[in-house]
Amino acid sequence: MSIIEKFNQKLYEPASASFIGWTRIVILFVLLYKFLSRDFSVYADIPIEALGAYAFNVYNPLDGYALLGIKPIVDLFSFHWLHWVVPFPIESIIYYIQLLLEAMIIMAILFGGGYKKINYLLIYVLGMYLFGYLFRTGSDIDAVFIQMQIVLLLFLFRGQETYILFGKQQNPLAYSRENGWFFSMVLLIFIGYYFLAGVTKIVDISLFDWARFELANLSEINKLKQELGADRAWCFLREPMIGNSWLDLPGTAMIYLEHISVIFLFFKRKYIAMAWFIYLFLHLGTLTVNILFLGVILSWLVFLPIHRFYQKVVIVWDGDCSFCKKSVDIVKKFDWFNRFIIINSKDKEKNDSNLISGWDGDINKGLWSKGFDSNENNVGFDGFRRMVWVMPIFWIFLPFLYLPFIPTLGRYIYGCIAKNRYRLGCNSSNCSI
Amino acid sequence: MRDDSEEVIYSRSIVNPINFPSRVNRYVRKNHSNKINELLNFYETAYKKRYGILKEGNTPNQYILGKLAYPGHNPYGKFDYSKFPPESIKEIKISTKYYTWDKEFIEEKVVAKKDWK
Repeated sequence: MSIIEKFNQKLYEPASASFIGWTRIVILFVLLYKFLSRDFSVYADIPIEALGAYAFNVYNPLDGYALLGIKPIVDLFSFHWLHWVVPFPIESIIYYIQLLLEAMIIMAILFGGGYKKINYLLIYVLGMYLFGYLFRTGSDIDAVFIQMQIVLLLFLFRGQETYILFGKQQNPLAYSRENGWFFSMVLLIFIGYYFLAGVTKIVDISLFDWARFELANLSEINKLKQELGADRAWCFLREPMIGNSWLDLPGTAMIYLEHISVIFLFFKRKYIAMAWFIYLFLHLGTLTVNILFLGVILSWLVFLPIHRFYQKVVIVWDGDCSFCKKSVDIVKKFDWFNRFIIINSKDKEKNDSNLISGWDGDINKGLWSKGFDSNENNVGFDGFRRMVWVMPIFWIFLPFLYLPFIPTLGRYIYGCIAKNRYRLGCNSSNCSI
Repeated sequence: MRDDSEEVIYSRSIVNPINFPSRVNRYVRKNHSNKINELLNFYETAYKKRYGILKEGNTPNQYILGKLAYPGHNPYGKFDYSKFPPESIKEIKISTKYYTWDKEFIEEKVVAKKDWK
């Protein structure tokens, strides 16, 4: 299969409709949170000349290039071309634009995009207009790139919405190729964000220079500046970096790799959870140089498969294994909302084949589970982990089960338990797991 | 700078959502040097308008959500502005202070300053 065929296949890989509604809620909440903590009316008092501080004009070409941060492009996409002919608004006008935007975001969180999803277009236009002031005063687009692109995507997506009050909407548990396209596009926005940042890093600073980048030294300088009274916050994350210059090379190499390799996430989506932790680590790491990407950190929540908390889970277990039966009996006690559809592997013929579609029929590989109607294929430790999603008492452990290296360890332990099943009470001669 | 020459840093939080006033300062100085006083006027106006929040120990981004507010892109330092009411301010300036690695003061280069109105 060619790379283009693989791309097309992944682009339309069915996804649940819940993702559309959940993405809307997360992204609009992040934007609302941001706008409720920013008062753009301050721009009414700034001298017009200061509004020419576009990225291109303020970046030292020796430090980095901001080729797209020029007036025509920034003005075009932030709708500030309006001010080529119309004067800048007074304080009260900016205040009411922001108020209107906040009200529209709240409406869209509750009721969705409305007729032709026009709400999202208006949020995009007003949001970009206000952020345009930031782009004209030395800021990059990176802090709002993901959120604003997804707002535009919500407008362009022609499928029905989910999790809205009133109005026609999809069943959140419905899977379709159209919903899959939306999922893929959101994923591509994240990939574009990190990959382009990675390319920028290579363009701005040569690989050789990056290998000499002084991460530890920068952390110490930031600490000293803060101690000398500069406008910087104290950060405990700096402490482990200071004096450990041996971290410079692996640290910068890791930053390079995690930006460039993000492109593979499109094809290997099972690593999204792991990538989440890696990028969380990266963004918290930037605090050592006094930069906080809270909006991006919160935006990663779109990949929390919210439907899994209430979707029925099909579980296939080895019915002849007494240890397995005991385990299933215990697990059943935590199925407080009756989400499990438990199937004895020996009785599979008695069950609707659609229920277990995707299972290869080999119970020797371990317990098998999947979300009802989904294309999931979870075996052994992964099968167990999928069950935890619908057992509220264990939710607190759920993030832990997705931490890098924990699944590998979990699979190993699961394998050991399976090997020693006789000692654990599996007395049946048919016991296969 | 206060009447008694006591100084306090003008935090970026005062002109929030502007994240990088230093970039704006540099741009105006280089390209519109005759407008630097207007820029300092802007900082003065913003300080006066937002002093109500600043004197309470909060930053202007906390005007609705309080301590739960979305923080700045570059987290802010903590400064006690309650001792610097606008009427006690004598002067505002843009300067760079230089220190040794052992935090010993070397010199201060003032690039722009003006009297408070």
